[in-house]
Amino acid sequence: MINCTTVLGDLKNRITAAQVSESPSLIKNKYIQRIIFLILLLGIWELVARLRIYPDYLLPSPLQVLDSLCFGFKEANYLQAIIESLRRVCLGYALAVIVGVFSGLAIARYKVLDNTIGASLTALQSIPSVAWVPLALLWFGISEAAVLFIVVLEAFIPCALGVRTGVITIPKEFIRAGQTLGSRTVDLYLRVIFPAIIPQMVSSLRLSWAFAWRALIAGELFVSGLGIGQSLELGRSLADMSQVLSMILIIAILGYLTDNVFFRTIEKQVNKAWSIEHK
Amino acid sequence: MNLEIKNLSLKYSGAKSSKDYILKDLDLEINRGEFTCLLGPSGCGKSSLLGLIAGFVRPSKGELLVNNKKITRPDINRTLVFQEYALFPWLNVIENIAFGLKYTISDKEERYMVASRYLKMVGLIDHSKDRIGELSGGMKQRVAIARALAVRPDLLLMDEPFGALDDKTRNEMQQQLISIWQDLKPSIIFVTHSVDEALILADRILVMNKAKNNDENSHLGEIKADIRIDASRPRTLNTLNLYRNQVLEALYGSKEDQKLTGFDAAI
Repeated sequence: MINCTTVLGDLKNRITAAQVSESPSLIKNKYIQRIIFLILLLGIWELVARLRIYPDYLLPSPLQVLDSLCFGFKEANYLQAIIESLRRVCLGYALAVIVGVFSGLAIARYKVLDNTIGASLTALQSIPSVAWVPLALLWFGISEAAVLFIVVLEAFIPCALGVRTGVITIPKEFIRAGQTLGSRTVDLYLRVIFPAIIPQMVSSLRLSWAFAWRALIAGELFVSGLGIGQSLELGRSLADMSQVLSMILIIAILGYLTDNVFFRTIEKQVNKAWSIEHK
Repeated sequence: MNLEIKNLSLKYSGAKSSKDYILKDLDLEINRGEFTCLLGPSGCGKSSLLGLIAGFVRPSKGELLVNNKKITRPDINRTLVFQEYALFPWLNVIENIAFGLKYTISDKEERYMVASRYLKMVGLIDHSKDRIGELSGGMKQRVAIARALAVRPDLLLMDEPFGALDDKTRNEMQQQLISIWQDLKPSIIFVTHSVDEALILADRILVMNKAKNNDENSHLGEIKADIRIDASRPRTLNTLNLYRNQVLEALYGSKEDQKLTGFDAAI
């Protein structure tokens, strides 16, 4: 009996061990998992499209979208639209960061500004960017200025709040160490306060970028000219679902690359360099 | 450097009544080149006093004079070493030490030469390019001491600098500090709550404690005793019993006093 249970137990152990070691580490790799998921998704989409439940103009197949993408880059103006949108978002983002950093510093410096403007920023942040579109169109007309207005308005808030929090939560010792070592006013900002808030800044800049990107697309839907948002809207008015989906794909890919690849990498590096000391 | 404190009072920042003082009518004089320890339990006002001398905090009444000049703000002539090091993680070791030298030496190359000299003095010359996060606690505090000394302050303020270190490192650091001090002879004001540390280091121990007061919520601290330690260095603790008894008596007083202050064997 004892023998039997030990053998059984042993067998059980071996099976579990085998399961663990056999389940290939490839499948556990999150990137492989993602690729498999994507392939499955595309497969189901292709299948549904081929069953012709919905007409082509409502649900094109992935291959049709790919066709449209290739055509768009080769024959139409997709590339110019992307470049134009990126130019616009970079300009708006740069303005937003400048406004954000200075307003964040001011809020952190003066209690009365924090109590008034600081508090309203949090409320302002809860307004979706698309809600500003009518206002922007009335003020600036159907123009790039309207889009920039929305982008700046959306993107400066996380930046300002991040700078404020960063400055307010700097360890007091950093400031005091800077002061006893001779730093004052501008020098104290440049040599102690700014470097000290860089980790917080990078996170806020990343958040600001995500806001800017969303605001850009929302704004571009309503104005004329060249841009990803405009192409998206054009696809709708031509009832060209392939173009609509192509644009959505482009938005997703660009958003992923800038946010998760570009900003995330910087964030990781900075945190690595800074956080060790904070512990 | 001669530090003079005249009729100094500091009110508790959350004071409800105007009588709620941390320090009241304090007079004190500290001479050039002296190693002074401020010794006392938490909440006796020793860190507040150090903050006043550093210039971070303004007195409610009275004045502090360094070389007959009134202290109104932090100054490079009075540098501070913090318990938590306060080294800048965005700079490496040598850049940290050179930080304050920017205000005393205009030539960049010379700044780094001077910084290296101080780094050598604390025995870390091989670590000049290290990131702060790579250092141990003792190494960080060595860098912090080098950073504070490199600008040649007349007065070095140290706020429980070895409080976060293990015993062995702490002993080493004490010896190293003494030898550096004997070399450079800055005046040092060293805050600690360890009786042994004060006995090993100081020329003069100012024993601080909460003032005798019937009001339990009082924050008032005062200097209970001013003890001069004339023993030669390096010191060993067992030769210092005479002084130790003086310090303990100043701290504990009679048993009734002990109950009042709530001060226990934590020191």
